[in-house]
Amino acid sequence: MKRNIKRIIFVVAAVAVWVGAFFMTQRLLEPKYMDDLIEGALTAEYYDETTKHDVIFIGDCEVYENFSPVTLWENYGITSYIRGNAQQLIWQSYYLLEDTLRYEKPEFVVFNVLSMKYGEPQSEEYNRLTLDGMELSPVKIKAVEASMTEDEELITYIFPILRYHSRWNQLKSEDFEYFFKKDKISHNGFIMRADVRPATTFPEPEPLADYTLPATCWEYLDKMAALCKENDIELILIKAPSLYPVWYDQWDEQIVEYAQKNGLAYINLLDKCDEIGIDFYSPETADTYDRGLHLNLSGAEKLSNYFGGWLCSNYQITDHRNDPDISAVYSEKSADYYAMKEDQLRELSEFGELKSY
Amino acid sequence: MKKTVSILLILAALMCMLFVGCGDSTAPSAEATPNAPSAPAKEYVFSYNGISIPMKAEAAPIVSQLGEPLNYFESESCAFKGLDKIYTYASFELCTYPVDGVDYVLSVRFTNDTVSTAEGISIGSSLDSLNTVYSSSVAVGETGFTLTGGDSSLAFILDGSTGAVTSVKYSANN
Repeated sequence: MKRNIKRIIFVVAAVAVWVGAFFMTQRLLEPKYMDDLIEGALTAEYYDETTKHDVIFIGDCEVYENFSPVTLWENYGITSYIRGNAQQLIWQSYYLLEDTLRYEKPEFVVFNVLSMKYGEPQSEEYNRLTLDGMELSPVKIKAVEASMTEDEELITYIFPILRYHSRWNQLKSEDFEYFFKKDKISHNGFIMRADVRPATTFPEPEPLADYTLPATCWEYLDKMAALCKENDIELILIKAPSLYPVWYDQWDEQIVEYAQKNGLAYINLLDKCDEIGIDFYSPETADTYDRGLHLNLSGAEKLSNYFGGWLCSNYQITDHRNDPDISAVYSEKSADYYAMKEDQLRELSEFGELKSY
Repeated sequence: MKKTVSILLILAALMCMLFVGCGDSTAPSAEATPNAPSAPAKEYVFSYNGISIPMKAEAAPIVSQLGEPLNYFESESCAFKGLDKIYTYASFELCTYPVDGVDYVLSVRFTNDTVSTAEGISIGSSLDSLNTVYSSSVAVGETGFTLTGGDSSLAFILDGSTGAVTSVKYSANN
């Protein structure tokens, strides 16, 4: 009997050691997205939030580069978070919204419509940036199934070691440095860039044989609208003010029609650049860091100020600045925000460019 | 004891399999690669003043032969390193994509009727000539027609009411 118990303990311990070694090895081999490709860390950062949010932005780089939640807080007392990723496709936005609803129920969901142009999964690289950081849940499984390109396998998103095992000979110092804990790279999902690179000229928009936005995208937009309605959330559609890639008038007309038909608000912020005060062209003070593709810090602050004002004048939204608990959390967030801003300005003045960002 | 040792050996073997069992597939790289370039496609190749521009061919020698472009535009892709580049010449635009620091030809799009495909179709060509040259049966009312061969595609956009060619574009296939 004693011998049997000993054996059981030994086997259980061996299995535990193996499982531990498995997950430790997996952790080591997974990309950390800290020194390079920091966008890959965005999805996971959301789970560290300690307070709920009035507004959730979902979409691609046109949300995480263009809106500053700290500005929305400081100017209007609005709490917000950006669940955006590089080339986040609409089905990924939909499932990230479902994922968000596992934790909180915001009053507003703001969806940027640029990704409506992609009707099919685009590349594994972008899928990984968006999905690797998602907590394992049935929602993640559905997100992966909707996103996978031809050669991808679901199991590799559940056990990433099956995908990244060959990284063992590419490990860098960041893989060890961030083994246990990662740095925060965003400000409530906003990636800050304080540098300036004005827009110049763009290639002529390419004519398309068919301007109809893909059927799959409409299906997911329907699902998103239904999910918001079910949860008593106001869905707002936006097109962020990025000058390139082109947003065709024919696409815009379809979104306008959809919004009208479904009783949703839609603002094409490209049409509001003058009102917002966005300047894409001044050599020293332009509000873009990459020639008009994305806004820089000053542009994001202007846009967020405008959007917060628009929200407050069109909807009843609570100003939380008198709530001591939320204020304490956001006071810390603001301090981090300004520390990063100061550091970026220092690098720009010292080196003429951002070196660490 | 033998059983226990067997279990331990199986667990160790499983761990080893994680590293060797899946062959030598590589992790996603730091650059977004449409896919790795292979040998240049033969089927649909644009040629300009004797300079051949196959899709997925290395761009640098071609750009150098084409001379100074009228306009040059580059855009960083979201997150990934490298620039998508667009060179605008008098009659066409050449786009490139980066892989491991080297640019490859992604597409060529005609911008006026002074250039034509190897088979003689240009912007403004009629639907009849298109159908004759490519043995196709595109009807008036259709707005697009694409031919695919190897690593390349040749796409035409057509005027819905007349069938005339309004745009011609060579592209690298994914």
